[in-house]
Amino acid sequence: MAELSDASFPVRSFMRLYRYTVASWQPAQLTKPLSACNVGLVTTAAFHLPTQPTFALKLAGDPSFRIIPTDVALTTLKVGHTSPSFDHTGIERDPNLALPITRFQELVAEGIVGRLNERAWSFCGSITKPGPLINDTAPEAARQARGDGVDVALLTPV
Amino acid sequence: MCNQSVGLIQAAFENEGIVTVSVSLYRFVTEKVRPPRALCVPFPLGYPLGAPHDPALQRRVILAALELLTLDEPLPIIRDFRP
Repeated sequence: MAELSDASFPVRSFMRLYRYTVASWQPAQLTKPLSACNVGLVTTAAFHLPTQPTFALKLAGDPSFRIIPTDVALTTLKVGHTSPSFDHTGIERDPNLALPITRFQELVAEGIVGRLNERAWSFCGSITKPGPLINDTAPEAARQARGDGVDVALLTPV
Repeated sequence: MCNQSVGLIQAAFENEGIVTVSVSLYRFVTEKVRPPRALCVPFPLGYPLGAPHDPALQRRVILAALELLTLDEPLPIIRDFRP
């Protein structure tokens, strides 16, 4: 577990004083076994394709997201995260660390999950004013996922 | 902030009828944001599934997270990953 005491003093002070937003949701029901489910992957690691714009460096954060096709060559992914609060080298060396496309291809091949959705959703997690994320971009990505027939989703921070 | 953002995106997916689970690197943030299901992992920021080029560890974290999807328990479920 990351510990607050490991963070730099300004980051630590900010995180102590910041008022976190409580998520608002209605429970969804799993109606089939995982072996029959379409899995959607979501990360806030700010991965993007070389052909996509990177994420904006704004204090409030950039609530936009990039669509990552899950047949992408992982070595081509760029990391658009600008946060100095974490070590970027792990996800740069192996994007599976936060966007586990290869791991899910293996789980599909083994029949543990049904399939991996054709696209994944990549956000940049450094968002201090989450209004546009809550009201606009996260629901937009979620509607796309439902349209794709995604049954279950795994989300990872960095 | 990533852990809050993940929980808020997770809520949007859950509200579309998608059953969701997230990985958390900061338990105290996740306890405040309260997403439906979260697996708290003992790794540093930037390493949500453990270590780069460690497929076995990444897989164990993923399977532990997927298990939370199948639990028939009151939500939210916030569990610790035991390596």
